[in-house]
Amino acid sequence: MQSGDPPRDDRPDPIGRFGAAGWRWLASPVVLQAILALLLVATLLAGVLPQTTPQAGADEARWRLEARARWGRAFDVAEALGVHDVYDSLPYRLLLAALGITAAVRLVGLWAPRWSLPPRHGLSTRRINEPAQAEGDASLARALDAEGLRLVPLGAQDGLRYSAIADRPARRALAGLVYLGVVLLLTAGLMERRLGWEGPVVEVALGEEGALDPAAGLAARLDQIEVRGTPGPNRRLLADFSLWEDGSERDGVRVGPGRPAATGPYLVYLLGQGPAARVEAEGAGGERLPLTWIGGAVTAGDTVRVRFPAAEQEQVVALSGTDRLLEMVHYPSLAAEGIDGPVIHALLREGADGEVLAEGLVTEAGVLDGGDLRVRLTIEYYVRVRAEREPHLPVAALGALALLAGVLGQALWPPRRGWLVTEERADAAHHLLLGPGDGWAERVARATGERE
Amino acid sequence: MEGSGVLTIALSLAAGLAWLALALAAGPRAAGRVAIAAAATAALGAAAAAAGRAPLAAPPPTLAGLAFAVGAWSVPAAGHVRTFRRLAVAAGILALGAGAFALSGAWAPVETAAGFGWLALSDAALTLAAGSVLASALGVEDGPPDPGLAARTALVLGVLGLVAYGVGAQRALGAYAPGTPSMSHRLAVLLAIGPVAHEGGAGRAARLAAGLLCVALLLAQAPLAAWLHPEGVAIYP
Repeated sequence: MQSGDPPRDDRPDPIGRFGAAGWRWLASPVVLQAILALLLVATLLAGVLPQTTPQAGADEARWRLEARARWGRAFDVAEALGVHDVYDSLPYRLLLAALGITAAVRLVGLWAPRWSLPPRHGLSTRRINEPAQAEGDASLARALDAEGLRLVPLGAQDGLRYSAIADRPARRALAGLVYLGVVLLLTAGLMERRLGWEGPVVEVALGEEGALDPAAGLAARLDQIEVRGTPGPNRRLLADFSLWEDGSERDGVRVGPGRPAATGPYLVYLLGQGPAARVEAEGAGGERLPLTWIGGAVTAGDTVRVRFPAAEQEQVVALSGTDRLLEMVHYPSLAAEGIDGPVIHALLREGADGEVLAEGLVTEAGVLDGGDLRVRLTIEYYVRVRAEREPHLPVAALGALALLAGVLGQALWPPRRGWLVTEERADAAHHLLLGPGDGWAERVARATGERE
Repeated sequence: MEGSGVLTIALSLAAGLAWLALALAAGPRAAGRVAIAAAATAALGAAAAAAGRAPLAAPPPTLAGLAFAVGAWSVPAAGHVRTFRRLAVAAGILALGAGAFALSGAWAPVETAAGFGWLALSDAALTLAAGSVLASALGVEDGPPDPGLAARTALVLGVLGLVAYGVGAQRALGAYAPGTPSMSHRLAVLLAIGPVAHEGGAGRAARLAAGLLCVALLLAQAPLAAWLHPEGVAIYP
């Protein structure tokens, strides 16, 4: 626009003014800080109070029972208030939605300066008189250019021209990655809810099978366990599974803690591990005796693998047809006996009168001699696995990378933003510069003749 | 007590006393203060690293890590004596606290079977982030090289800490936001840092409050996680 032309009147209609006010409100720091503060309160509640999904693989019904026993009536009160499920609650989701909207508005404001509006608070104003004949370093445009900034026209109204002062495109792009990252992470969460799938947690010991995706007929058998690390309850296990789907065999997978494996659209995770005992019994003539794990998986055979989950460290196996019971108690270690590692205290009893026939502590493998029969025990491990379909993971990974790059970019090169209101007159242009209190705004004002 | 515990105690106490002596000393020139501060900072870094497996989950290494972060920010602020002294005193108190906690012997590091590297990276980043916020509140913003840098660095470290935890949790549990107590504590640290570090940051009182909240969360996270979900601590807290 030439300086002599009458300024174009871009006065917005009432709807436009309402929209602009709403846009300015959403982009204001106060709104973002209020959302973050409310999220902080909710997150603190979730971190201090027990949540219904404490970790993958936990049995929620059992967790609920234990929590009620531990906290008593306080648990019911908290449950009525809905604070046991903070991350799945409606208020938390609404807060996340609000965060997503404000992040999107801020992203647009950074990447498309025409859509940026000055906040009502937090900016310093400077009056600058630019003589009509101002040239060279004294002109405002030149001073902005020297700072690597440029003017983006926003419109005109009542003889005043409005412009945004925008930073270099690279700096704006980098800074905007923060908000892009937030939007992508929230989108990934939405995708997970709509498109993701999580199978049941399957507990299997060596040689056992489990259905990872019952609907699709995906099943797995634990073929081998490789034990690594020092002895103890948290030894690192690597589990080899063979898989089949609807009767046809698929490639096997090897999974470990923190080491999932991909097979087709599934990712298979090893969620946990625990101690197990392989039990075999034979009669006086060397014949194998059938065994039944009481209270365990409904399998009967001449070899059973008894698992010891954290909440059930005592298990019983019946030696069918002999009226004998094998009672086992697992201990992570028995310092009193000088055993620094997993150990099973095994008792072989008469079923009728409870008389103890044999007793022993088994650390790796051992035999209980009950006179007319022998029971062999070997300590093994069982694992908990789960298959998942996670189409949202690439989006989440992109979001995390964008967020990291964005905060790094903002730390090194904080985006510079400002706004300019200009009144053109014959002898001079009068500017009102809205920007930070110091830094580039101060230098630009000084270079172009700031009016005190 | 294991060798790593003795080393943590010795290095923390030595670094704490060095910081306090440095804060009291009026004589040394800027270069000398920087050299001594760098040495004490390195000692605290070694103390945090020597604390054993899961290095920052227990209070002693957490305090050593915080002292390390606060002390490290005194190096660029060495030209401003008042700021330098404030940071040195804070680093000294935190380091002595680390030594005192370690001396009590009540804080065994948490054993983890999975995701140790990601957890360690997450804890380290969040501890340094909390330390940077504290440093920004204690006056490093007055000094060179760039006002606001400490707070902005805290935000970078906070995001890094949460992303590292998310990657580790995804690989171990199949969920990058599993809703565990540890996730909540880490997210709360980032949410406390965010408002005071973003877009020029907030006032000194707000930054100090955010820093102290972060310290409380980091110190409480291991005991809280164990108390809330003892069955979940062994595999992935």
